[in-house]
Amino acid sequence: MLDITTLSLTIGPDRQILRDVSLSVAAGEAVGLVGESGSGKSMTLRSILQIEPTGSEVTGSITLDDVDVRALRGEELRRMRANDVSMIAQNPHAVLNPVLPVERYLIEGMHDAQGQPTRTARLRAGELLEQVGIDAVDRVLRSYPHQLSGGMLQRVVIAGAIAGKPRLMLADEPTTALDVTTQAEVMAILDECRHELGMAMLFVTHDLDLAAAVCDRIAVMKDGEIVEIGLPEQLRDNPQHPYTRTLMESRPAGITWTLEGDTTP
Amino acid sequence: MTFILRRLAALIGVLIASSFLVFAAMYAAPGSPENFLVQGRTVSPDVLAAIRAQYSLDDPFLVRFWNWLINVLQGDFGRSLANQQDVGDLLAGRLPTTLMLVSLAAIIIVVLGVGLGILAGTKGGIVDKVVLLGSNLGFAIPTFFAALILMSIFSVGLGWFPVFGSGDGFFDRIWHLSLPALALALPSSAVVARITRTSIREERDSEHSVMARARGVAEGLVMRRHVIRNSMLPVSTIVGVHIAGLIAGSFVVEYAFTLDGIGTLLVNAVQRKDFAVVQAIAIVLVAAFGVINLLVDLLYASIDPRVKVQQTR
Repeated sequence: MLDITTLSLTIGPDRQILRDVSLSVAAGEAVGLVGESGSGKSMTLRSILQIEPTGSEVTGSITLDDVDVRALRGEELRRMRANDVSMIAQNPHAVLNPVLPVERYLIEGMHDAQGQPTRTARLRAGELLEQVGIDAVDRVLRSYPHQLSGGMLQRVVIAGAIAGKPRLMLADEPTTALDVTTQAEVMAILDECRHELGMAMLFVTHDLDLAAAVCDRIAVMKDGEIVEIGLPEQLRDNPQHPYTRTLMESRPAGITWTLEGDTTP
Repeated sequence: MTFILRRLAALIGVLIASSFLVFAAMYAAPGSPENFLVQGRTVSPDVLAAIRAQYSLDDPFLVRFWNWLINVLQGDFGRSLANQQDVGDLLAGRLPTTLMLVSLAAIIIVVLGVGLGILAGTKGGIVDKVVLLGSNLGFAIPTFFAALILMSIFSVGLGWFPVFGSGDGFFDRIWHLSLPALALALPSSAVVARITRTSIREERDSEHSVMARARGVAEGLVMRRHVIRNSMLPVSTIVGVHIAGLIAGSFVVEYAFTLDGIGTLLVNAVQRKDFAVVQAIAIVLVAAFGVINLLVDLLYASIDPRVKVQQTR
């Protein structure tokens, strides 16, 4: 469904962030993108939505069901962002406008971006919050971002991301900024929503174990290049690239991710 | 509510402290009131003593301060040493001109400064360059010089505006005060335009603006709801400080355009060492500064929900 072909991204005259990245995600498939900070994982995600930093030069192609998403402009680009692909970023406190209440965030996505009537959007906002496991729906809807914890807010972002039933979900370290106790909860909710809606997912993380727990395939990235792609078991048992081996060895012992409903459908 | 009460209490504290400073500074300055009253004539010690008694100048400093403060709180600013007029009446007669001048300048700062800043921040390119150049120019030109230039171009050269006087009636006043207000507002507008532009630039690339775009929100809406709205938070503080500062800065312009405002009254009173008038104007200036800043903080709290929480904790 998503095909990234020889994607390269340069900022300024000599800062090459991505080098010939090629990657594909099938419909309903979850692909992990694993690597250390600065390896270009986030930039790969952002390039798909054309939200890379201004001044970046991008070559190569990205197609979504054979539509060249890098070539989309204006209204077509806006519709693709609103309906087909949604993104969950690392820090939910930065994603929501600090001076607008949570309800406005959800309504903005459904009404202003997707074009649903305001009344429908308002009703759906409550339902979506219930869907991501929030009990005090009315209180959360009225709250401002600074009044909620990171875990609660990330659920709100997930609720916003699934509102339009997109085909592809881009998750950029969705649990990294959260405290350890809520990480597993938020990850489980995200995984559950993905399976319910049958969405494909491109999941960026530096945690190889987490990627192995939620993804069907994993791509290992280093210095802007993909060095190895394989099934989680392959990478675990028989890593080909020395960097993958280092990643496997450097992970902290004793921490394993288990998610309800397991990983593959 | 506690937020407002707390700020009011702080304002009163500032007023009392600054009134003490004003009172003390006047007595620390060279020359004494009785010297001014006898205007250099040699008089007998008896007359001098009588004058000192009449103005209670022999009381201890703190007693005099206390009496003055109590009177001021009752709205009695005392009498002018120069012409025995009631200082309150004197101020009341001058206040409308200064208030109007400052209000006009404030409107110019908001419209010109914020407006051009938003334009430069959102449009970029040649518009941006022109605004930047203009703001450099506006900031570099001192108020009194701007006043002279504006006068020579628009009053003397083109004859569109009057050269001096404050006018009678509402519209005539606006016509008379336009050029002075522009001269007064020019440097502040330049600063405000710059800060608005920078603030817009920062918000444009902020994560919530970028993510709003990534969610498929139209660019115009992202600009209005996320970029411009949020960039107004720091701008509102700067605008408030500059408007409050206008009151103190207005005397230069009032003097240049010979307007009968508080500023010219202050300059004359200082030259004549008219203690009561100078003290009263200083206190009014401090009070106005405090009130404007309080209003700005209230406005800020109403547009940024985070402020209230921090205050009530």
